[in-house]
Formats: sequence, C-alpha cells, structure tokens
Amino acid sequence: MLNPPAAPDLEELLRRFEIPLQQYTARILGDRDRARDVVQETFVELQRSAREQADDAPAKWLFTVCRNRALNVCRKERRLTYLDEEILEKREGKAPAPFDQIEEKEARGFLLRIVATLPPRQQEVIQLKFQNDLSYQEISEITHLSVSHVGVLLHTALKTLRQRYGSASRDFLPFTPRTT
Amino acid sequence: MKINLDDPNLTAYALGELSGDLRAEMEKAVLASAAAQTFVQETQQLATLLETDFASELKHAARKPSNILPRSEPRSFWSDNRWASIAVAALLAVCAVIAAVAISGLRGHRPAALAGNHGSLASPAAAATPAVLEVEAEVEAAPPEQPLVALNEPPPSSSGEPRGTANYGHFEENPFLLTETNPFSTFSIDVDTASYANVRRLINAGAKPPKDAVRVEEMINYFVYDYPPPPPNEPFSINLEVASCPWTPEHRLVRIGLKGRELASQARGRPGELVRLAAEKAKSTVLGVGDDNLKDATMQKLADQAKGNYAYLDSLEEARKVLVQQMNGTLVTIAKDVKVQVEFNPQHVASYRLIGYEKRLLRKEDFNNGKVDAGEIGAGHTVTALYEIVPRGAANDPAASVPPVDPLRYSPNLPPPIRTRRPI
Repeated sequence: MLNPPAAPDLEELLRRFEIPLQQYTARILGDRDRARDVVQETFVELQRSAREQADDAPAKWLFTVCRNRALNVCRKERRLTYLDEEILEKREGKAPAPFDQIEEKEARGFLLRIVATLPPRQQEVIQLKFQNDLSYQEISEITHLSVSHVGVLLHTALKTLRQRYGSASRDFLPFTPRTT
Repeated sequence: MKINLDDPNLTAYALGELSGDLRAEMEKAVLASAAAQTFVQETQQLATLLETDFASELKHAARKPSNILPRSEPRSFWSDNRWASIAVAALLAVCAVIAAVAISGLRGHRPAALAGNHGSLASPAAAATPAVLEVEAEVEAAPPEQPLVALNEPPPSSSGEPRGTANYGHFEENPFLLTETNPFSTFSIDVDTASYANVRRLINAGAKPPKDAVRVEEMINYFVYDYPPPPPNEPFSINLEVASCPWTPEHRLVRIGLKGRELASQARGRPGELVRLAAEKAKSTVLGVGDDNLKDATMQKLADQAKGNYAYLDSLEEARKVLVQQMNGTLVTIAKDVKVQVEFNPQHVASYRLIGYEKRLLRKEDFNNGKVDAGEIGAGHTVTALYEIVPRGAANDPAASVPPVDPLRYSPNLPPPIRTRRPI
C-alpha cells in the first residue's frame, strides 16, 4: 500500500472529521466543491507537516486550519466578505425566511433552514457547537473570538432561532421533540 | 438574585458550559425563577433538535462519495474543475490605440517609429484607421498559494529514469492568417524562460537542440527590455514598435511589449513578509536543474498548473539571474490571467502570424471569459510578443496561396468591403 506508517491515524481522522469539516467549510464558502478542496488541502497539510501539533487536539487544529484556508479563499476570490466584521455581525443569512414554507416544516432540516437565516458568524458558532460538539473554549480558539463573545453569539442565535421557529410553527408545540 | 433572561451565562448554563462558582450561582438563581427554568428547558430542547438536525445533515452528506479517503489508485489533484471558479478579481481593461501597422513604412522599408507609450505610428495616415490592441488582466494582490502535490500522489520525479530521455512537447509553428477571416489574435501571456537556458546549455555542449525544445516566445522573453514603467495606478505599460522584417524585408515585424509595474521597496513589506512570500512561492516555482533527462513538457505543465514560473538553471549565472535578480518579479504577482488580444485592420494588414506562443493560443471568445486560465505577470516583469505582418499589397504573402473563403451568404453582418487605400 502507498500509505505511510501514520496512515491509520489519518484514516481515523478522515472518517471522523472529513464530512463535518466539509459541512462547516461549505457554510463559510457557500460552495461545496471549493469546501471539499479546502478540506482536502487541510488534510494534506496535516499529513505533511503538522502531525505533532495536531495530535493533541485534532478537532481544534482541523477546524482552525480549515477556517483559515476558507477565509483565504474568501479573501482571494472576493467572495462575500466573511472577514468584514461589520457585515459579519449584521448581515442576515442568504436563505429565504422560512415562514412562507410552513407546509414543508415537517421535512428534515427545517430548523437548519432557519439557522441559514442567521448572520454568518452566528451560524458558524451554532454549527461548531451543535454539529461538532465543541466547547465554548474550543470555539473561541478556532474563531479567535473571546469565550464571552462566543457565549453572546450563541445566546443571541438561540434566541432568534426560538423566535423564528416559534412563529414558523404556531400550531405546533415548538419545543416538543419531534418523532422522526 | 434576580435573573436576567438576556444573560448569555444562562444559555451557557443550559448548555453545560459553566463550571465552578459561576455554575453554582447560576443554578441557585434558576431554581428561584420559573421563567429561568422554562428558558433553560427550552434551550436544552432546542439544542437537542439542533444536534439531531445537524447529525442528519452529516449523515446525508456522508452518502456522497468521499473524495479524499486514501485509495489504492491515485486520484489527480487537478481533476476537479478547481480553477473554474477562481473568482473575478478586479477586471481591468487597458486599451491602447495603435496605428495600423503597415501603412507608411511600407514603401521605403524604413522602420516605422512609434511615438511612445500607447502612441501611434509617426505616419500621416496613422490616425485614420486605428487598429486596436486590447489587453485584459485580472489583478490580484496576493500571489497564488497552491500545493503542487496531492495526498497520496507521489511527486513527479525523474529519478530512476534512464539517462538521455529528455522529452519535449511537440508543437507546430503558427501559420500566417488572413486578417479578413481572422482579425483577432488572442493568446495568453507567458513569461517562462526555461527554454532559452536549456537551448543555451545544449549549444554550449556542442549539441543541436531538438526542434521542440526551442520555444521562441521564451527566447524573446528571456531578455529584459527597457520599456518605460506604467503610469501610476496602472498595472502595466503597453509598448509597440514596428520595423521592417529582417528575413522578408517587405514584411513588418511588430513588437508588443508589456511591463508590469515595479514595487517600491516598502511595498514589498518587511523581510519577514518577504520570507513568507518566498515560502509560498516556492511551492509553485518550478526549477529545472541538471541535464540529460529533463522532462521539459512536464516541467512547463507543472508550472502552469501551479500558476508559477518555470526556469531552467544551467549555470550558476542563470541561477543568479532567476533567484536573485528576478526574485521580485517571481515573488509578487501583479496581474494574473493576462491575455492579449490584438485586432488587425484588414485595410492595412493582409495577413499576420504570431511568432512563438504556439502553446498559448486562445480562442477569441476566451479573451473575455474569466474562466479561461492564462499567464501571470510579476512586478517589473516585461513580456514581449512579435508578429510578422504582411502589409496589404505586399508581393510576398504566404497566406495568399490559401484559397479564400466564400463570402457569407445569409448573415446580415457582412464585413465592410475592403477599400484599397493608396499608400502615401
């Protein structure tokens, strides 16, 4: 086999993190193909040069590097200025407000469509927290925000989600776990 | 303690993120407030819903085939349409009006002087019918950074190859084209110089270089031309010169030269910045060293794919030229995807041929297509292209032996009839 001795580890990391990283990067870039490239390059970098650094906290390392690379792509390609702090805080997400799609709300991912209406940075912390089960501390290190800023972003995001989810499903009990 | 439902710590508490005193304090406050208890409960339920939905998103995404799990057969790093979406950076169209090339220098075989940058031919008839040279470039601030080699793909290496297996991509010289049917000539700028050094090495060794090793545009571009720098705020200057053609005196040789703007030394940044740039650039500059089994075609292709430059180091002197003198140009890319489109005026130019650039030709439609990849210009770089031009009415027109194409029968957009202008 072509695999170097460290390959089992790499395979393990790929199995655990490849798809979550793609999802995360795709949300930043808004482009699944580019996201796959970024994740691939990140793993190449991991394999080539960063095994020791990454071994302590692979999740933190992978998400941080993916994020930096994705932001580089944004910067280079003048994509939606994910880096522009002001826009980042204020801009609403691109997806249409889900209120006119109530009929479809039973569909899986209804809540994620509401997530997509949040400002990008709130989406990011929500995804890191609830898709990847990262702590405030880890999210803070990945995004270079303070822990308390992460707390505020999550708090605000959850509040908005609650409101929008509530008004989107007025005749539902908003917080009864669905049976799927 | 009165609890505030807008306290982010309440969310943190609900998500189990608090510890120590803060947690104990928050717990006490929540127990004392029915509203806070509802809040915590709802937050936790919402968290569960989010986790479920995010998990199902992952499961759904996982059904798509993974692209990087190690496989036994190597997958090409470049097989994706990865460059297609290289975004539209600042588009910059520079137009220069050139006088029609073959007007008055025609008779006396004297080289037609050019009035300067963006200038016109010093000729009485010059202003009448300008040909247009349009140069389009995407300008980018940072140099590209791309790894050359993919996961699990062994780097291309010539080790273990038998000696004497140098190979070169084959190409045919550009033919003369009739201006009437092909008024546009479009090509991608290329500033590699490896071919010159390689040919020099072969000649110095007393060998005749193989035909395909001689890429004329690299011979031409090996030398630094003394073009004037561009005016401020423009990425490059455009220079034109016309002379009678040495090998067929009734033809004209047109030289088109671009010069990228120089970077002031402070614009290059601190030394640390330069080192970082060099490190990034090192990934995409392809240097050929040594002799005998040079894979010229592979090297050039590699440099193109990595959007870098390809140089061949046949001597210490050449290494000094590439690595020291031209470092600035190779390090700082001021324009990428540089394409040149020249429109010839059929009233004055019967036919033309682009000298060299055989591998760099583009279709005329590609000029305005940002998705079509092209070459790069570094700071201070000069790029030169030569055309051999057959003026209308010249005795020796190689393209004239080609039978003409029938005129369009249905299209309303017939080209205007060619008026014959009497040379002054």
